[in-house]
Amino acid sequence: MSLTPSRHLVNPLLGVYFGIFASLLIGIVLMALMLEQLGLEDHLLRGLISGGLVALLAGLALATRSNAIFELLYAGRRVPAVFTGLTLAVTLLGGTMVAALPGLFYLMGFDALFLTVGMTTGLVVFAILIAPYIRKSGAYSVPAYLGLRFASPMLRVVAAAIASVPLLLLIVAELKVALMAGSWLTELSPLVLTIALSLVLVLVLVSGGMRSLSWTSAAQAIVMLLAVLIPAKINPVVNRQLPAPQLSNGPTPLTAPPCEFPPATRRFATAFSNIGQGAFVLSILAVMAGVAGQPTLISRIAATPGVYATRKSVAWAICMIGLVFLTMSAAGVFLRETIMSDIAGLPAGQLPSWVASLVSREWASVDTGTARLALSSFAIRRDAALPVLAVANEVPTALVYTIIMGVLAAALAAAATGLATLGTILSEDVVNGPQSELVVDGVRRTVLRLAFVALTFFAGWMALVTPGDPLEFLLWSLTLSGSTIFPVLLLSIWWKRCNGWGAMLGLLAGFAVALVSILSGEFAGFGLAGPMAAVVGAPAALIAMGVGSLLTPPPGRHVLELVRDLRVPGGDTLYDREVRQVLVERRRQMGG
Amino acid sequence: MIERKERRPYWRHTKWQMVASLLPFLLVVLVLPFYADQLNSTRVLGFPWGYFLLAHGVGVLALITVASFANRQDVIDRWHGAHEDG
Repeated sequence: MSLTPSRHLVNPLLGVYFGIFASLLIGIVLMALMLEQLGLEDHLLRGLISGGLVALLAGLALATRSNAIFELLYAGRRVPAVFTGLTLAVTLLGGTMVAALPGLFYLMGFDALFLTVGMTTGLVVFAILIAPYIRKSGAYSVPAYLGLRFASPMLRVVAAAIASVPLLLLIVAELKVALMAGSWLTELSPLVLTIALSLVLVLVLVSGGMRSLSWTSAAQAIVMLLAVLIPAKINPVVNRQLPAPQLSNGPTPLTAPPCEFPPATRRFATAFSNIGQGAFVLSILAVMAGVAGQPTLISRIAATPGVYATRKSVAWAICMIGLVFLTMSAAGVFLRETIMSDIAGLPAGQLPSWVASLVSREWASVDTGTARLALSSFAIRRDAALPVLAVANEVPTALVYTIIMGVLAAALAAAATGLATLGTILSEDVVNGPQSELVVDGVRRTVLRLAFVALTFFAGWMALVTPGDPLEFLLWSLTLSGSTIFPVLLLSIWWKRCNGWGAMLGLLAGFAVALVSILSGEFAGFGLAGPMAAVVGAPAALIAMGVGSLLTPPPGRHVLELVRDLRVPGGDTLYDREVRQVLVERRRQMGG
Repeated sequence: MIERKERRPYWRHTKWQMVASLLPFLLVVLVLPFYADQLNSTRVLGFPWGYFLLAHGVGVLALITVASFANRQDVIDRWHGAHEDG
């Protein structure tokens, strides 16, 4: 077993490397724009953009390959704050949020804010209550942390089983979005596309584990930011002379269509028309708990150089997702404004040409049954709102494909992080057993890589055959994390008296209550809506953990000392110290 | 490395910093939605005020909260000798 080098040297040329990457990316988009003007055929244009993205990712993955176990598990703890901020942002948003949020703002208006406010609040709670302490522990996954904190191998296995459920839901959601975006960029059949995307993911994960994943994810975050922010700015800049659409509210006040049209939709800024005031706040809490307990974020912060860098990295992540959220809400406003000004009130026979383009791509449908069209006559596919806005503003097709490339990059980054986290849990916490640190490095590497490959193809198959809405899967994943992992992590740090039995009871109670709540809300039609299950699941877990801990013997001296060290940023990383002690002990036994 | 007698004051200081950082933010996030409808009748820079505060204000407040927490907590760590080496 090799440990992380004691000095975590951050590569001083990272900025240069990523500058070159961003330049190459912009070069591909500019080349696509020029070739489009020169008459390049549509399928070649799509091939250039999707092939360019895959080639850049594959190149990065191969350039960051590694065989060292500390690189495979936590990237050698050498990912600085700003890059961890990028990876946290792209992991949290994923393709699901990037695709769905503009559509949600377009359809729900004000009420879609519960998601953005909930995720932002979740990151704040994560930064203050959870992240620095998990980083001090040095653990690379939730089960590894809980096993270390409570000195309980059994808890490690139970936590691995429970954390797998939200992780699998998240991976399937992201892969479904990746398949959707991939089908817009290529003409491959769903099966071939699934295999192609799985191969890309396998290459990223197998070549360097968390190391290659961290650097490709940072690159994918740059792709997402460039692809989402720049095209979304074009309409306001060119047509409305608004340089920062995020700071505007559309060119006109956000009002309903003029009174001669039927009130097709509610006003954008009308609060609580889709969701009640109380449910809005409870939904914020449910999303907050889910984000703060998200296992993928925990595996991300394990790669930072230290506790202070972890705190700063979450601030960077908030900065980046804040920018994306404002762009998404502005895109929802501009889409409404575009449709109201360009379509509403027109006779059915005089539709603009871009409407036919949207209908042929199956991104929109138009009800031409009425003499004059209203806002309600025009329906869009929720997850296609951002490309719909671009097509409606008649921007070059290369930019429409660039937006889709951003969605694909975000979906692949989030799916890869989910697979890395789940693969690590499967190999380190289940297959190699709770004493995985004692297994020789060669076996650990092989098991880890096999787990990545097996899980990638299994999740790809699941995404292909499972019907359902990716956003719903993601919200279920968040609510399950919020009901199980978040309360247990919270008390494990802030309540010294809690013990392994309490943590196990908390995990099981939170999971059971959340599962019953989701099933009754979604399928039996009573109780809370599925995504809000954490509102009852998290308190159930907290109570069960409290009662379970108080009814069983208090933690021993060793565990209490661990908790005291966990709360202090300085000194040895707990995981490294424990592993060192175990290895010394084993050498002594073998020598004796 | 932190001295043993400093551990208790350090943790007390850290808990107060946590409460001071988190409580105002959570209060704003959980109370603001109940007044959003009323606030929306006022417009600031063309925005309905309730929408503006939740869409833009919460993000800015979150950034200020976490950035100031990171700096304040770092000062606390150094004051008690609990900071990281190097």
